[in-house]
Amino acid sequence: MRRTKINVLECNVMILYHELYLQQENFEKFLSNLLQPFVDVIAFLTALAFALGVLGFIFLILQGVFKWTVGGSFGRSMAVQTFIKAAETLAIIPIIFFISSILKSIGIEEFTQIAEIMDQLLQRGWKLLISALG
Amino acid sequence: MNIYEATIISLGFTAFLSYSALLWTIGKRKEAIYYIYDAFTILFFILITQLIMFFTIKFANFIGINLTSLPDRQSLIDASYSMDQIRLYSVNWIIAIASFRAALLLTPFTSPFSYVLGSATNWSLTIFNLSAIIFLFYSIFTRVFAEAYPYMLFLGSTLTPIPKLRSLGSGLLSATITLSIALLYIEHRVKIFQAYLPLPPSFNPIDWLNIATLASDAAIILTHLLVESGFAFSIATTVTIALSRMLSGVALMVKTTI
Repeated sequence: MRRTKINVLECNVMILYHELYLQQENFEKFLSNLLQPFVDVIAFLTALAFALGVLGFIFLILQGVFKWTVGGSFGRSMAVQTFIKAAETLAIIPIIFFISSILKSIGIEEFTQIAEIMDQLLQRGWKLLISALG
Repeated sequence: MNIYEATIISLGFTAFLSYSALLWTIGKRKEAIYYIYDAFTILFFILITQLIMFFTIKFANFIGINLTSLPDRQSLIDASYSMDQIRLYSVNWIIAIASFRAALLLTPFTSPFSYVLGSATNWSLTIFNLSAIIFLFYSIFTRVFAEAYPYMLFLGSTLTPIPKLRSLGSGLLSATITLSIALLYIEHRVKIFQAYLPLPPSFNPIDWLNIATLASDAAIILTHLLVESGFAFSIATTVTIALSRMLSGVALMVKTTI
């Protein structure tokens, strides 16, 4: 096949995409900058969910104790239901931590990676909650 | 899966789980269960995405493309280069026929043969023009696609698992995968057909008798290439839409809005 001396198209395209090609190296830096606020927001959302769980638990326990002391025999059965509700409300926190530990041990590489990052997020949310409470 | 993909997917997963925990604590149990279900579809769709990639590589091997993993940017740039070779080949043929005709016109007593050569190679010239233009487009398209390809694949494979972003991710993923395979298939066919493409004859007067036959041979092979590449593109478009609809992507959204 006969070839022209200079492949004009290839030359032009190389000049055209030179800038874009250079940008590709900065893509990871850009991505990590972009992800940082999302990480903060989701850690905050986790902390908020945990905080609501803890507050709801305390509120429901108080409500149960109040029902137990004031409500008489009928109130005691109501109080037991409230205690169960309180336990359910608090249970969501260990369940979420439990999900990440299950994902780690399930044996699929992608899930393990995801669970490790999720664990860090949850720990961060938990620390936020602890620092806010104490 | 690199660290950024894992981070984006786990951000989505944690967001859905914590939102469902939030709904659970304020007593909206039904909605909370719905969001937990959404969170677990993320895990399911990670596997689906891996399965699609595995199937793509197997299918590429089946149609003759030598791949062990998904194509990268450099292989698409190479494909663009091979398509550009076909454009150059067509242009060379166009220039060769034009110069033969010019030589015949300028030589005394042979000028009527120039018109004969013109009408004999007319249809081949049309094919050469077509293939020069179309392969120029293919070549530039492949070059542009090669630049966008890593980002599109990254976004597609990370956003497809996350429920609210799935319509964006699955469109990108299906377009990236099918188009890259279609373009590599065209390159593969180009490489096979290149061996059979006859070169334009030199300025030997004996070869001139043959030129119309040679041109038509070249034109027929180029037509094969043009039709096959068009076919590959149309199949790729169909599969893109089908895959996107399968993963509840843009095509489904378009259909439902219409």
